[in-house]
Amino acid sequence: MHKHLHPEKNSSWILIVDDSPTQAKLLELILSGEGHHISVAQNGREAIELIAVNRPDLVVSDILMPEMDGFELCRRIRKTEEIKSLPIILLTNLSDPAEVLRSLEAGANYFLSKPCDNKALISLVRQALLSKGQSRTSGDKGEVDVHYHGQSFSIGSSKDQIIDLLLTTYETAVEKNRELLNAKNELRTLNEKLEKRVEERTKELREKDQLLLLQSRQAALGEMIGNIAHQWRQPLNILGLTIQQLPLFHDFGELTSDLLNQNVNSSMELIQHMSQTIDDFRNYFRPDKEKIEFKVSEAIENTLSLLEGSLQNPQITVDIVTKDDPVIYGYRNEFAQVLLNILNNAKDALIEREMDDRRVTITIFTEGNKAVVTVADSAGGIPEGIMGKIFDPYFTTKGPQRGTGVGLFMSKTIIEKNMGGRLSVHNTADGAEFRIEV
Amino acid sequence: MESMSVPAPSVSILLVEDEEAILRLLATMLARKFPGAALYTAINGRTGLELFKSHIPDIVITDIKMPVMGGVQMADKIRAIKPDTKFIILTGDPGKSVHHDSVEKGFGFDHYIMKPVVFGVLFAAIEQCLAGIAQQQAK
Repeated sequence: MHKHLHPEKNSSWILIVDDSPTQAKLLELILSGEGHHISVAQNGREAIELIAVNRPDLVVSDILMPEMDGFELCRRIRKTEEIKSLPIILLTNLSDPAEVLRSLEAGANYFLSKPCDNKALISLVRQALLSKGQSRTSGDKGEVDVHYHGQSFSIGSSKDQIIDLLLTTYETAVEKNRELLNAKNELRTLNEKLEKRVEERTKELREKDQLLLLQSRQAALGEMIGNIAHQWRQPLNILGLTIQQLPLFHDFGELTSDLLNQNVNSSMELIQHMSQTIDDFRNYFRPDKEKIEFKVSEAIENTLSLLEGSLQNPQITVDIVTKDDPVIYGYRNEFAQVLLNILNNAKDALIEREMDDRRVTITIFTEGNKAVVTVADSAGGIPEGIMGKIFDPYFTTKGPQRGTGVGLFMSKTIIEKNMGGRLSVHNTADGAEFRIEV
Repeated sequence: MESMSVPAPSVSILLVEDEEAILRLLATMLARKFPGAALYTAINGRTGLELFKSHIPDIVITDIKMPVMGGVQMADKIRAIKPDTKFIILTGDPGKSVHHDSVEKGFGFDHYIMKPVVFGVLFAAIEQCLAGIAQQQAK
């Protein structure tokens, strides 16, 4: 058949020229896997030296290399009579169309994009080796001058060489395009998956938030029922006794119209008071639909009136120090809930620690353009070890019977996320001081 | 039976309740119902105990939850002075705590009356105590 006959039918000698040892090794592995014999040169100059000793069947060369680049290597090979028809594959990343013209000008046969796709490399090598015997001197020796983007290239390659190179360029471009499309599809799938996951996660988080909110509502409701019980027990007792007076006075023969009026009036007063209590609690639990302007001092008074019953019995004194009378634009009932949570905690701490001096001091003032409320208790303070955790969800020191661990977490959420303020805590000489800034 | 009967003047009652409105209402009606009895009133266990020491009443009617000194603590100290004192407990707590504080600690009280107090029930309890006292005196 032809002059370069090798013992094995498909085995050829291929010279790999690449300054990157990793890339060279990769090419070597792929091609030796196909049964070819491989030599490696680190740059064009080394390649020329190797070729001078022994002519390979094919050169696969990188373009950018120190000492002598791939174009120059091509040119040298094409100028040397004995090896001028040696097939050359240039590895390119196809970043510049001028590279194609420069390759043609230098006399390369094929293009392959980097990083190499195994299948494309093997198939191209096969094609290059098949054509190696074919004449590269098809007679058409005329040079073609090509101008591209202000640069001119003088291409002396034969037509079939030009077509081969352009074809492989095109193939490379098609391959690249396919890769791009695949990548794009993968990206889209990935994106969709990601979006779905984000959506699921968001939903999970929202459900978790809602659960927390529900728990905090229920905890607050539980406290409230306790408070209502405290608020109502005494007036109910008094009302019961007052009403029973009537038949007794009648039996004693003392039921005068004065006494009857007095009895009815005091009963009605109690009933009004209890009715007011219900209204207070119901207002408190009505969700805030929109932000409104409200006076901090009023919100505090309302909250204290709800707590009246449960603060009275353990004999907790509440002092209010009003330095300013600031107005907050925000969710009034949520703000009241925060106060209630903090006051309930103070109350529980004062009772649990059996403090003799049971005091809570609420101070209202303005700082800059912010309304500030501090709630300080005399319960000895929060242990340093848990200071950083008290606003965490589900963190409680009260035990599962009494605490849910959502009160302060929700308070922080309400003040910071819903109202754009700040809720912080520090210990004073006597106890803990919570600071609300809105 | 003898609901309108006037007890012997020697009988005395101590009423201890921290809510003044309730104390006033109860005292008013007790004074009318038992005009012959001497009635002493206190707003917490400590003043109740002091009154007990100076008057040694036969019947003590007391609330449980009170500031300064609660009803059970006061009863404890009163029993140390006069073990056969009759106790009528007024409580708003139907739960275990009263039981725990009294029966489980080894002493029960003569009568437990739930709040809101029904006068008829309180009067009946006092009458039973009076009957008991009369029996003891008769012996």
